[in-house]
Parts: sequence; structure tokens; C-alpha cells
Amino acid sequence: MFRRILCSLALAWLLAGPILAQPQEGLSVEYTQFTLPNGLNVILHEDRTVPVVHTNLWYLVGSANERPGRTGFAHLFEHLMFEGSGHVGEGEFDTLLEGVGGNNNASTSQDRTNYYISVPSNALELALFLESDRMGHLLKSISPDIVESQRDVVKNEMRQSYLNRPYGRVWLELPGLLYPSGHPYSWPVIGSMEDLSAAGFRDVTDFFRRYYVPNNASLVVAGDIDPVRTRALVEKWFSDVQPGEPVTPLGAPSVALHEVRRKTLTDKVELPLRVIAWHTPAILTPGDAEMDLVASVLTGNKNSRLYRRLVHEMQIAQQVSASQLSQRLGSVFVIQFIPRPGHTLDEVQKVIEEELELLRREPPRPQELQRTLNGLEASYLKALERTSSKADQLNAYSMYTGNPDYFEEDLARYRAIGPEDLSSAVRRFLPSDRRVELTVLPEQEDSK
Amino acid sequence: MKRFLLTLLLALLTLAPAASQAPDRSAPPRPGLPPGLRMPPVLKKQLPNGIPVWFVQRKKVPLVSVHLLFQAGAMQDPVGQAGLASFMTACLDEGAGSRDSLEFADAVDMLGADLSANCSFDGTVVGLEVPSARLEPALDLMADMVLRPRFSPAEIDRLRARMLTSFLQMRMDPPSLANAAFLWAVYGPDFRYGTSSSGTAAQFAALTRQDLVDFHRRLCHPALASFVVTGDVEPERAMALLSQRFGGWSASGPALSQVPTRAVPTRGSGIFLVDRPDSPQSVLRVGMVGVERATPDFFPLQILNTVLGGSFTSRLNQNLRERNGFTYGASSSFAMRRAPGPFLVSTSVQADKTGAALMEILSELEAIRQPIPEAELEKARNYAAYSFPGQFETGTDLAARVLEMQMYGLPDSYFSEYVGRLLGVDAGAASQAAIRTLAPEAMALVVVGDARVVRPQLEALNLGPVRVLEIDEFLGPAVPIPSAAP
Repeated sequence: MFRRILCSLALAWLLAGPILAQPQEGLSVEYTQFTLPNGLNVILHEDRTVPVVHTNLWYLVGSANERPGRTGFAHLFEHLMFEGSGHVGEGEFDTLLEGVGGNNNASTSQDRTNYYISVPSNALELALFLESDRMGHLLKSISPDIVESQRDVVKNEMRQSYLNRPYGRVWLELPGLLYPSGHPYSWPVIGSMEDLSAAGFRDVTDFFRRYYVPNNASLVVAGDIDPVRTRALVEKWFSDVQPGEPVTPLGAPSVALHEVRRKTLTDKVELPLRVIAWHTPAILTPGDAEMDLVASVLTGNKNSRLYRRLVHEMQIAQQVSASQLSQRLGSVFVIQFIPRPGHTLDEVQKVIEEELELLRREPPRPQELQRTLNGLEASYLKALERTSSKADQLNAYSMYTGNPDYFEEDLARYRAIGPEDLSSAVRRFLPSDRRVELTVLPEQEDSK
Repeated sequence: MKRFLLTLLLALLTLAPAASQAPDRSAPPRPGLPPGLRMPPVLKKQLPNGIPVWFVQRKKVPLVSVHLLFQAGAMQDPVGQAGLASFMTACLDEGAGSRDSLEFADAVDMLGADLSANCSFDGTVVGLEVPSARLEPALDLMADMVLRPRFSPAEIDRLRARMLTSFLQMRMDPPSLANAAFLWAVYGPDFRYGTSSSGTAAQFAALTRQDLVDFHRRLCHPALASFVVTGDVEPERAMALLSQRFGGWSASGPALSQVPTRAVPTRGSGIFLVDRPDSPQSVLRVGMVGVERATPDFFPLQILNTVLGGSFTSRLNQNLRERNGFTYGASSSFAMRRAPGPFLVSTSVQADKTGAALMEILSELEAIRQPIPEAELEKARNYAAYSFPGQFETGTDLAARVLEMQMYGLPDSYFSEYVGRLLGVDAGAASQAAIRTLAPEAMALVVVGDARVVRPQLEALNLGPVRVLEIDEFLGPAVPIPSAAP
């Protein structure tokens, strides 16, 4: 559907995922950065390809900041941010933007909440007015009725995206299997129906005052702008927003699995599915890039090891995919697969074990790494072609590294990896005896 | 001390322009004059054999896109062979020229290229995007794929089994079921739009290698072909490279011909229910046969649809989502093709609100036939018109627009005039278009949900009998999956 996207694990990976520069060129993105006295970090980037301006605002708050009993609240709160603010009536946020040809949306992940607006460049100031009004004056307009109606919408989002979708409940169950109770990642971003029902108006005001403060946010304005004039406009609209108490970045105890944790669900599906999941290094920390490359060597293309054997040659799997889901407090590596009719999960898994064991023993061929790097370079160029994706990446790099123009260093991580590094990463991070195995069986096979 | 001074100085510097003065928030800032659409010029050339090549150069990043359009697609699937164009298209990169399937994929991946073929009802496009420095070897692969696909029997069998498994999975996916039941209900089993471009499992299963080879010869045909080249490449260089590979391409037999415009079936309205026990939501599709791409109502219908269900503040979304909380979202769309494609309203609503949601949808469809109030109309015109220039940002964005020009024979001035024509739609034009196009009483209502919960709600609407559809009725029987020869 068209807005208020919830960042599932997989989406979070796409948004924060690696993109690489053309090796010979050392691509970078020019920007201006400054901090307002109230603590708001601001990054400006000029790109006049089309007469459009994008604002991209990250608040450093996500589902990880929720407390038990209020899971799903960060995302529910995200919905409330569109319902009007001190000087913007209910419904006017969208009406004003559509009236000038603008689009807007937001997404919530474990680690951050991201709001973005795209407008023709003549309406830049309107976008800044709307963003600053909901940062500074949201509570003047939020009522219990608004919370009630968005609660219904979010519950329907949960039904549509998880409960009424084949295999959808996997992503609700996985966090609790991977993380100990109370860990910030131990519940899904969408939360639970019970907790969504329990959220009250008091939660809204507390959450807003604590996390939706300029000193916990980063604003990128990118596109058809004059940076000098834009800086003056940002100062005009955001300077009087009051700062809040400093927000201490979340820490979490390190986690480890000590055995294979198994769980089986049933669902209305034609074919079974299994997800194997491990804890892996946090986003942009040593080992994170290695795991991205391991994922690609396993399932990134037709000649990748698992795809080639299971789908192409043996034809015993309909689907197999591996990915490193990079997150701030620690990442997750998943392999998921669906066998062909007439074949079993265990039959497919046996081949996966063989291939993992092979990678532990022998480094991949240089060609396997090169194929992946070449594809990543091209995807980096594509990302740089679209201003909205540059805007989001500037914020991501700024948040995770302190350097918005981290494009070249990001590339360097991948280029520094050799074949033996991948073997060693698989040995270290993908053990066969410490992981989660979550299985979905078709309902009629309950009894088996 | 030092530190204090520095901080003071910094504070003075940063605070100087805005100071602590709060901005005037009494009214939203008014936008200035809208920027014009800077539609870059399209350079038109031809290969020696007459194949058109249209260029739009853009040197922002070192990437180039080459798209090859054939003016034929799933609409040309022979009767009883729905899915042939789709299957043929999927075979093109499964081994071509001197390379088998895996070798071909490796060659593409080593170039960091995206190279794939896709068909719609109206056309088939082979698309390439690659870093400019690697254009030449990538075009070799593209030429192999188009001119020398192998159609190896083993690859055909492998693709068929994979596709048949997808058909099987579709039977458990609520939105897929709703779409399929809707197309069947609106177009019936005989008109091509009655199934998706992939067709049905039973017809797919029966397609032979010879069918694919013959169809390829007639679809991937120079008489139907045209190129679109966008991005960072000099036209002279691209022309030379394309001429070497495609300039001597000549026909070996007749091309597929446009399907004569057949009368689109007019099937009666009805309520169709596909039972999916215990579903927490019902997937809804409401609609009818819409209009063709060449409709004179094209611009009024863009505005009309923006008001009805084509934007976040549209009536359907405001009603079903924001006002009633029945759903995560509701939308409407017109699929405008060479022949009239479907108009449909799509949403998923919580099961206990299925009947109420359908009533709201029908009442919005009735209301949209009345003149639209000026403020609402202006918002929709501005939204549709002023968001349009953003669709020309990347090389592939540009390619999509130029392909649309080729596919539907749009005049050169089309996109330059596009914004103005949207802004020129008035209330009379919009409601006339609605009255001509939308007839709520003639629409099909399709529900995929828990019959136990939903059926009483549907019957209480008193809209006529509720017909319960078995999946086999609209998807055909499930086809067993042949296992791979080891």
C-alpha cells in the first residue's frame, strides 16, 4: 500500500544496505553540514537534475526503545505524526502537500524512524514548515480519538502484512527466538495486538517529549536547492523548536545462542518453509561486510552456491535466499528456503549444510567475490542517480559513522575482503550447533 | 575561559540570522511559481535496417540503459495458449549464443549489468542497464538473448516446473486469488484479459519447445522492434555498437500482427466469494471493464482517479482508512491498454467489516459521478500535474517515458504538454468521464475471505445472490509438478 511502511527486518536491510563506489573513481557526495543550537543535525545536498526537493528526517528512535507491554508503539507513533500538529489541522498535512504536487511517507525500524517528503522545489518552505511544526508542536493537536483511529489502521496493517500473508508470522516469531526476553530486539517492530490495544494517550506524550526532540534527529534536505538560502530557511523554521534531555543511545548486552533453538508453526501455505538464523556483527562493524558477501556467494545470483545447486541443478527447492540483516545493536544472518513439491525441508537443508561446511573449509574462488563486487558497484551508481536515495544514505552514514559522505569508505570495507576472510567468517559466525531454526508447515500437515 | 569564549562566539554566529524569534506559523508558506517540466530532447535515429533508435542523453552517473521494445506481448498469445509470451520471454536469458544458462548469467553478473526481458499485454521489453564503460560486451549479451536464444529442452522443463510451482503457491495467496477471480469475473475465460499475462497452469503446462521457438521468431521480429537508449553514452558510439549487432537483422517470416479489436465481453455484475477459512481480513476487488490507452478521456480520468483512489487523500482511502479504520489502505486504478483494461478498487479490510466496507466503496463509486467540488479538484489537478516532473530523474525513468511514447504512438510534444493538459481538466470533463466510464451497478464485487464470517454480511447488503467460487473455476485445476530428471 502506499504509505506508512513498516520496516521489517528485510526492509531495514535494504534501506541500510551496502552500496559500493566505482573503484577507479572514488565517488563521493558533496554536502554542507551544520548543527542548530537546539542540537538538530542538518545536511544539505544540491542536485538539480529535476526540480524536486526531498527532506529526509531521522529520529534516532525505533522499536528497540520500546518497553515491554508497549511493543509496536514506535510505529504506532509514526502514524500519529501525519494527523496534524499545532498549526496544521487534522488531515491538512497530506492535503497541503498533495496540493502542491508533493508526496510523503515514513518508515520505522528497530533503530530509527524516518520521515520523508518530496515536493516540487517551489514548495520547499512548505515542507520545512510541516516537518518543523510536527517536531515542535505535535502535542497541541493529538487527541485520544486520533490515537484510537490510527490504532485500528495499524492493526489492519498487521493483519495485511503478517497475519493474512503466507509465511507472514515468521517475522513475528523470529525476534523472540533469537533474543532473550527483555532485549530491545526481542519483539517485532509491528508489536503485538495486545500491546497495541494497551497503548494510551499518556504513552504518546511521554514518547514524544523523550525522543522527538531536535537533539535526537538528523535532517537532510537534498535536490533542487540553493544551499545558502536553504540553510536560512532551515534556521528560520527549526531554530525555535525546544531541545529535550539528551537521549542516551541504547546499549544491549551481547547475545549468544548456545544450542539450536527450533520452533514449528502452521500456516495456510502450499509448501513448507524454514528459516535458519544466526547472530552476526552489527552494522558497519568488522564482520558485517563479510556477511553481506557470504550472503551473495550463497544465493546472490544464478551461479551462487545454494541457488545453483538447489534451484538450478537439483531442482529440489523453489526458493532459497540468504541475507545479512544489518542492525545497530547486532545483526542477524538468515537463510530461508522452500522445497519443491515432492521434496522435504530436510532434504534441502542437507545440501545447505554441505555447502556451509565447504565454505568453512575452503575459501571461495576470487571470481565469486568479483561477481558480487561488480554488481554492488553498479547498484551504488544507481543509488547515486536518485536524489531521494542519496538523502536517506547521507542520513544513514551520518547516524552510523558520523560521516555523511561515507560512500568511499563503505566501498573500501568490501574491497578489503579476501576469499579466506569469508571462510573464516562462516566458521566464526555461522556455526551449525548454535542457531535458530523456524519452520512453517502447511496446516493439513499438522499431525506429521 | 577559552572554551567559554569560543562557545559564545559560535552561538552568536549560528544564532545571528534566526535569533530566537519564532517564525510566523499562522498560515502555511505559499509555494512560489511551479517549476516547469524540463523534458530533455529526444534524438531519433535509425539502424540501417530501419529499426528506430531514440536517445535521451544524461551524464549524471556513468550508467547507460538500452531498452529494446517489441510491439507485441501477452495479448498475442494464441487462444488456448495463455502464457506463451510470458514463458518465451522468460526463456531468453536461459542460455543464448555460445553460453548455457549459467554461463550467460555469469557473463551478465561479471559486467555488473542488469539484463532481463519482460512482457506485458501490449509489448515485450528487453532491458539492459550497465556501467557505461562495459556497454559493448553487455550489448553482445543482449544481442545473443534476442537473436540467438537456445530454448534448450532442459531449461524449458526447469522453468516450467518452477512456474507451475508458483501457480500452486498462488492458490494460497489472498491478493493473488482476489486478482485472478476479479479478472475472470469481469472478462470471462475467453478474452485474454481474463487471466494474468502468465496465463493459467493448465495452459502453461501444455506449451512445447516448438511453440516457444515459433512464437519467438514472430515476436522478436525487426518489424516490431525499436530501441530506447538513455544515460551516459554518446549517440554516435551507441549507434555504431547497435548497428554492428542489430543493423543487419532481417526478418525470417511474418511478424505477429495486432489482434483485431474484439468486442470486450460485458459480463453482468455480481458478488463473488472465495472462501478462505479463518482469514483475519477480506481482500476486496470491485470494478469493471475500463478504458483503452487511446481514450479521449485519458486526462480527465487521471484527475478523476486521483480524487477517487489514486492518492493518500483520495476519497476511498480517507473513508476506509482514516475515517473508518477498516483497512491499512484503499486505492483505485485504471489499467489502460490497447484494449480496455480493468478499472478496479483494491483493499483489504478486517473480516468483520467486509459488508460495511463494500457499502462505503459502492457509495464512493456512486458519488464520484457527481461534479467534484472545486477545491478537491484543484488539489487533485495539482497533485497529478506537479508531481509529474519528478518522474524524469534517472536514466530508467526517462526510458520508461520514451518507451511509452513508442508503445502508444504518442506525439513528440506529449510530455511537454502533459502538465498543462492535466491542469486543464475541469469539473464538467471529470464528471462526464465518470458517467461514461463507471457504472457501479455493472461492477463485479470479489471477496476473498472467511465465508462463515463474510457471507452473512454480504447477504445483508441485499445486492443480489452471492456466488461462491471454487479456485478451480477461475484458476483452472492445479497441475502436478513434474519432478526434475536427475
